[in-house]
Amino acid sequence: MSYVQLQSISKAYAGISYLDSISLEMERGEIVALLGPSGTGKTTLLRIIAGLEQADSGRVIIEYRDITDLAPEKREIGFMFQGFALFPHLNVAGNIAFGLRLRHWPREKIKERVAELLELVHLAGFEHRAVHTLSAGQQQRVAFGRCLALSPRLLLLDEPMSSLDVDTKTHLLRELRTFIQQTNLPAMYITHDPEEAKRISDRVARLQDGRLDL
Amino acid sequence: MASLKRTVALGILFGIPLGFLTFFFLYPLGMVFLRSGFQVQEVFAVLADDYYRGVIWFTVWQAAVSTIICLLIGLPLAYVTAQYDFRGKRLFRTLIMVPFVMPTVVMAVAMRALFARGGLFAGWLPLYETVWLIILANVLYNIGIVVRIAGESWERLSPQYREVAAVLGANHWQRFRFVHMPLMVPALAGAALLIFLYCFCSFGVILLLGGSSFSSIEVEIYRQTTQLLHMDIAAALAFIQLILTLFAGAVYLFLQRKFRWQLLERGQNYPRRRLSGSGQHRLVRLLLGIIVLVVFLPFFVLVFRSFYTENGFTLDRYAALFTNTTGSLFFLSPFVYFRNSFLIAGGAALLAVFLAMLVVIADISFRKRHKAVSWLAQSVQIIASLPLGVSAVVLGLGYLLSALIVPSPLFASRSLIIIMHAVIGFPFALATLYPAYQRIEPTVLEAAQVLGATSWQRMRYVVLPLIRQALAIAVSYVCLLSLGEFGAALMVSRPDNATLTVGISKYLSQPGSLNFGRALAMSSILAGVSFTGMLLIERLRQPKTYQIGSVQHAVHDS
Repeated sequence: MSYVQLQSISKAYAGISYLDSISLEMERGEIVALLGPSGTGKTTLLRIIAGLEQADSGRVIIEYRDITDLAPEKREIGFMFQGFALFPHLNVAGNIAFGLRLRHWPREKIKERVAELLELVHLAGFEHRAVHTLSAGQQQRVAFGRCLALSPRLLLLDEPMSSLDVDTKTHLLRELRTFIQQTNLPAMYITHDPEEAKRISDRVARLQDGRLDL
Repeated sequence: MASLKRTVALGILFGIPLGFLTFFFLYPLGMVFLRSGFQVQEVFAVLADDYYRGVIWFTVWQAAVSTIICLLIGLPLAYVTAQYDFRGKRLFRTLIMVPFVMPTVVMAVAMRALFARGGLFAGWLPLYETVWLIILANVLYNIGIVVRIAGESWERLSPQYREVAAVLGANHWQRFRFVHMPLMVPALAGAALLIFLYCFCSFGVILLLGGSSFSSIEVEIYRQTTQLLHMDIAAALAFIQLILTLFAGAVYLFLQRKFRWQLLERGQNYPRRRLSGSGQHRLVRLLLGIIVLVVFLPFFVLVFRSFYTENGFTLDRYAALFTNTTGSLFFLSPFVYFRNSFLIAGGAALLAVFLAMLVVIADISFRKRHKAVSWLAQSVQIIASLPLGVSAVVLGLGYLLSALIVPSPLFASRSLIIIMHAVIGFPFALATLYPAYQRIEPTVLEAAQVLGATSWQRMRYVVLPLIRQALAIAVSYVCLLSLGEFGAALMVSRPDNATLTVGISKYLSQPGSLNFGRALAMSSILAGVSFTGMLLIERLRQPKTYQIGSVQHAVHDS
């Protein structure tokens, strides 16, 4: 049995089927790129896995546990949004520590974990910087660090590079792939750019007309 | 030659509004400052006096308490309307704003109809002539601001923040507390400042509901000016009020600067949350319905009591508007109040919109050519926005102080009130017309130019039709402001040029049920006019869509 399993996930809006019985299996440490033109339901699939939307039918199983009916806050999933969605009212450390504070981690342990993650994403010394003063690449690293803070069991990345220029993208893709590999977590990466999909992933899955072409 | 023509045009376009604001706003305001500035000891004397200190403290206290209550009640309403989609949301947002556009005098009469002797709640809710009635009126007035300002910027906020927090383990309360609340600080500060300033400069409500027990700075300025003729004390109080207003504005600017973030906005295709199940739907609608009923109750009772007397339903109170029962020589037919009010409102609206159009045209037509133009336009905008921070009573005091020095026939006519209301309405007209004008694609004007249209023709055949809706909104808005304006009109009006609001307050201050009945009838009519005006503006605000080629455009005016 695979580490991550999507079993026959379907979703329709206003009678139009966007996801038609999607099934997918992933192993630990595997990066799968989900490729497809805009509006094909890639983001919807990710949101269903994260629990931000409900599927009409189907199951989501991670680490051999069915999480289909769990609320998003209980799924232990790392989600990187388009545009990163960093909290502008918190500094770098505050963003990364957000989930830890909610779980009432002791102050010292939070500090340690934040330092460890900043080290991982090469941002040591940036703890107190306001997020809007960072470059796009640095913001991406903060978002990635925030994803990892709670040691999730699966990483979901929703077109995190969509707003970047080509040069920055090429550099950051390489960096992001290294980061993900270091965590040894399964990751699903959404993009509409075939080149980007090839560079970041171990396997490319195409989503078209509601069907997944592996 | 062409450049001389342009300079003359520019001079006229900026000169008229600048001259107007300088003479009719800066000059009277300067007179207040000079009066208090020359007699600094008067300001200190006022600050040292227990009575005036009490007045200042009461003004700040009632405004702060009203603001806090508005935020406490308004926030959950703003949250529900911003986060969820449900039928009736738009209607709720419109209805909750209705009290805000009601003249203060109408609110005061409505509150009396509810809580004064013989009122619906008089027996079991003894709020009349207590501070709580003033605060209740303030809250009913301003709660719509929280729902509207905070709610709408909340709605624009990208749901991604909430979702990130959810994925990171935040429950509903934690998302609200640690994500939404901090991100909403600028919008909430904006709403809170606006409410605080409205309550701080509240005149009609405190004058008409506070009786002799409560006096705010505004009311005290009025009393010192018109009843005790202590102009120096009035000027000193006005000076103190201006300083406190500036201080509140500075706090607001500080918060805006400190919390000025680039926030992600909700994408058009982002799925909206819907209330799940008919049970939730019903509950939300029931709660919102109750809020609307509470907010509207005073006005329902006002209209009801204008028709209902001890003899049952009758039109007596309306008929009494036309009868001089006491045979008073000074009886002024309410028709005169109506005529004055409508003439003044129309005049003020046309004047304010005309002046605002001059600024907009000057800025947009000449900005590219001269750097100084954009500097000039900014200065006019800053000067034009100052009336927002100066209360109408202080403006009225300035006019009186100016008239004492420069006697002029203008200061004794209806035109004076038209000018004052145009000064008060000018920032609103400018704020409505500017964005509408800026939304016009420059290529559209260039296309007209290539087709041979002169600047006048471009204005007549392209610009005016495109900003027609914004013009209508600006005119209606200034009309509504003028119709409901009370403080300035009361300060400078004479019996023959008194407005409706002044007329109503006169009837309220006279004893007897006949006079109260007249106030009820006049207030009901004014409430009806204000309500209709507001619905008209809401209707005009609705975006229109039109199709050019394969691209669909949405036109939002203001």
